[in-house]
Amino acid sequence: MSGLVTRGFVGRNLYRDSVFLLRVSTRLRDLGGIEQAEILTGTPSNLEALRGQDLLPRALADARPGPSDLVVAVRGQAGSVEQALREAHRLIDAGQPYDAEDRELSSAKRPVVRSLGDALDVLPDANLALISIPGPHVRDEAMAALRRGLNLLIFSSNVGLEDEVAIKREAARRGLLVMGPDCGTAMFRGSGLAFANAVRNGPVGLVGASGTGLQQVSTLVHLCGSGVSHIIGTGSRDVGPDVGGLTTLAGLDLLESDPGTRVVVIVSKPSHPETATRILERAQLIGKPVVACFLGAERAMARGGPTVHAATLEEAALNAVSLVEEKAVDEVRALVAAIDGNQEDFVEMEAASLARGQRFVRGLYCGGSLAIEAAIVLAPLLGAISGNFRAAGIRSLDVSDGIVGHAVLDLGDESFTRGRPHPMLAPGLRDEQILAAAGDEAVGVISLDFLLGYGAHPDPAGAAAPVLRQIRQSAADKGRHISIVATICGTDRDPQGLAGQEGILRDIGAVVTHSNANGARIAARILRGVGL
Amino acid sequence: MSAGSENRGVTEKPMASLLAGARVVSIGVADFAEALWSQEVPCVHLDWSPHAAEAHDPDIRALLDRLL
Repeated sequence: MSGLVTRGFVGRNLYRDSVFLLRVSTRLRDLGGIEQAEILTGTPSNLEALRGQDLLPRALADARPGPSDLVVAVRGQAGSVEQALREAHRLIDAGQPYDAEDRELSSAKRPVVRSLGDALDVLPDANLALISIPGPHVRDEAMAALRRGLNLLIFSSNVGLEDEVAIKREAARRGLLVMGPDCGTAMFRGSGLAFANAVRNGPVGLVGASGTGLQQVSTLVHLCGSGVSHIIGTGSRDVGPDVGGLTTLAGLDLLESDPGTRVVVIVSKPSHPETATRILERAQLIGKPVVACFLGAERAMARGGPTVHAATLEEAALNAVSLVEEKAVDEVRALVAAIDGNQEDFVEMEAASLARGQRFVRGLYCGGSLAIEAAIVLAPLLGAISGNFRAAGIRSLDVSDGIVGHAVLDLGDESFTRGRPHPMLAPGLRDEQILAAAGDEAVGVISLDFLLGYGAHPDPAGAAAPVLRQIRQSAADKGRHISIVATICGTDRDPQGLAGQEGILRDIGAVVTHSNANGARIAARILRGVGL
Repeated sequence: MSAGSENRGVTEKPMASLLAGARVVSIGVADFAEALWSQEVPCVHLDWSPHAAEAHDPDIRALLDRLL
C-alpha cells in the first residue's frame, strides 16, 4: 500500500490501564485510512514490539519514551493518521475510551477516588480489593490493602514469586484471603469479579488455579439446572512448590464453613505433586462431597477416599450436579446433551464434506484450561496431539518450529501475546491463527472457544464472524471445506446474550456446543467419520 | 465442621465476610468496576496511577509494615 506514513507521539508520565489502551487503539484502527495503531507504555519490550511492527519511526524513538510514558503510534494514509492522532489525544486526555457525554466520571452510584483512604471513606465496610495494575507495583498496593483489612483479588500478572509468597503469608497472618496473582475469576454470592459468568446461585462451591476452567465448570453446573455458591480463584502459581497451595487450602476452609455450599469442586491445571497431595489430603477431611479435577495430571495422583476424581472439566461439573441432585451421572450427562441438541446429522454432513487429505484438527483457544481439556479429550480419539502447554500425554509444541499434525494452542500463552492483549479481550490475535490454520490444506476442523460473562469481550462471536466467513468462502472457492466447532462457555444470563452468540455461529455454519469436552469429541467424530 | 478439620475459627476470620458477598475497592482497570456496578455490587473505583502511588512516602509505608 503506497503513500503510508507512520507517526506518533509520547505522553510523558501518563498512565492509563491496559484495557483502556486496548479500546483506544481499536477505535483508532477502525478509522478509515488507518492500517495499524498501537498505544503502549514505553517499556523496553513494548518499544521492541513496536519496532517489530515498523511502528517506531525515528522521531518517536529519538523522544526516548520510558516506562512511565505512553507511546502512540499510527500507520496509514497521511491525512487519516493526523486525524487518528488528534482522536488519540482527545480520548487519552478525557480518560475515557469512548464518548462519555452521558456518563459522569464519578457519582454516588459510581464513585471514583484517587487513594485507598478515600475509597474506604466512601465504602467503609469494603472487604475486598480487586487489584489490576502493573505487576511491579502490586506488592505495595497489596500490603496496603491487607493492612486495611481487605481480602485481595490480584488480577495482575508479572508479580514476582517472592512477592506472591510474602503477600499470601501476610494475609494468612491476618486471616485474609488472597486470590491471585494472575487470578482472572472469582464470585461471591452471585457477584462475579473480574472474568466471571452470570450463573444461578446454588450449592456448588468452586476453588482452583484455573480461570477458564472455573468458568466452564460453573456454566455447566448452571446449564444442568443447579447453581454456584462461590468461586474462589487462586492464581496459577498457587499449586506450585513455592506457594504450596496457600490460597487453595484457605479456600477449602472457607467453602467448608459455608452452610450454603454442599459440594466442593477443586479445579486446577497440572500442579506440583506434593501440593496436589496436600490439597487432596485436606479435601478428605471436609465433611462435604468433593470433586477434584487436576487437568492433565499424571495418573499417579493419590486416589481413594471420598473425593471424586474427574479427568475433565465436564466430568467435574456432571459429578458435582450428580452429588447435589442425588442423580446418576449419566442422567445429568443427558441434560447437557439435550442442551446441545442432536447434532448427528450435522456431524455426518461435516465429515462428508472434508477432502481425503484433511486429516487434522487445529484447536485455537483463548482459555488455557479449555485448551488442555480439549487436548486430553482428543488424544485417545485421534492419536498424537501437540500443544503449547504441559499436560500428560500431550506432545510439547514450540510454535516457532511450525505446526504439523493435530495441534491445540493456548493463545493466551505469552508465546503468542508478547505484550499484545489477551485474545479474550482482543480477538484479532486469534484471527491470524484462524487464517493460518485454514491455509493449511491438511486441516479439516478448526475448534474454537467463545467466552462470555462479565469482563469478557462484548461480542466474541460477532468479532470472529468476519474471519470465519472469510475462511469458509475461501475454502469453497477452491472446492474445499473447513469445519468449525465452536464451544460457547456462557449462560443465558450473561450480558453478551447467549442466544445471539449461538445464532451468529450457527449462521456461519459452525457446530455449536456448550461443553468444551463435547466440542473436542465432535471435532474427533468429524475427522474420523461417523461411528465414534 | 468435620472432626479433624483445620478450619476451626474460619468463621471468626475476616475472610469469612466474603461469604455474605463482596464489597469491593477496584484498583486499576476501570472495566472491572463497571462490571461490578452493572451487577449492583457495592464498589468504589480507585483511579490508580504509578505516579500517584509513588507520591506516598515509601519510608512511611515501610514503617507501617513493621508496626502492623
